[in-house]
Amino acid sequence: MRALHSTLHFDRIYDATPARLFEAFESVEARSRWGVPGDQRLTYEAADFRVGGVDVCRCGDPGALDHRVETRYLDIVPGVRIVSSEIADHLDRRLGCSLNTALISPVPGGARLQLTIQIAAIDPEVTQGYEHGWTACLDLLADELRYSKEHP
Amino acid sequence: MTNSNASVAHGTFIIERRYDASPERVFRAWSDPVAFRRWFVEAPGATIHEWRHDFRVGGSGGGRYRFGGHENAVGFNDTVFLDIVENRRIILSYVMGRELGDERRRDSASLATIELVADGAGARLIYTEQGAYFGEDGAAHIPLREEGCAEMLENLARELESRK
Repeated sequence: MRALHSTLHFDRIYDATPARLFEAFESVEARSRWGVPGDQRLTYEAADFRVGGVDVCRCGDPGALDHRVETRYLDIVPGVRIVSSEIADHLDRRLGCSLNTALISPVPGGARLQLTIQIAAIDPEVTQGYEHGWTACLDLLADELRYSKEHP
Repeated sequence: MTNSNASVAHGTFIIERRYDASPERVFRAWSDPVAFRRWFVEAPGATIHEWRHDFRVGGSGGGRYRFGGHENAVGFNDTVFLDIVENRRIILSYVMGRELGDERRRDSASLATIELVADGAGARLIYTEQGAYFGEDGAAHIPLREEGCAEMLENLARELESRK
């Protein structure tokens, strides 16, 4: 079966400085909070936020973290841009690969996040999974930034 | 270092080609380090400073090279193999850039899917590249990259033709 290629775009404004928004991507602790939809769990087995570095996390329903995501950082411009590749597996089955670009820019009173997810889906359903997952996580990211603003 | 201009242009292109070679032979031209280097990077006038081809998931490929004389910058290609299904599919990411003095300037990052389908006595190769091109003129690089990839797949045709 052929892979299914698609591109998702997300465009959000956050009540945070660009530096804070960047930190929410850089910090593994922050990502552990906002990087998975609220009814699921996530743990990091490896984290290395620098160009060439690799993160490995497992996520899924509580008690069954049977998804594995391996992220490689390809390009980082502090406060501005993070480009990474991702391999997503479920148990021993490859779901797909993606190229993720997070672009951060200042806007009056906050920061804009333009997130582009370019997907090569091996399991055709993973595209929708990416869309639902990122939509939920970007909402959680707003909570994360609000919390860190109120509890500096 | 990287091109720190905040703009990024995203683009996708697909190139299809038929080869008079089985999917197994076409796959071997990608998997075999000696064959791959021969058709992918060795060109008249090319100086290859470093090259690697660790063909397994998580393995790295690419290297540093200069095409032509010293007026041209040393270029680099940092590849990682993300998915491999023998004789059928390869997914890889690669970053391309140039060395400018002490700076390694990354110009783009791409996700490439190579798919092989049997077609009579030959094989059809479907190459899909999804890319992020950094800098103000990023979008201008997309058609150039597509031309470069078409040329690459033409080099592969010559490789397969000359080693029947």
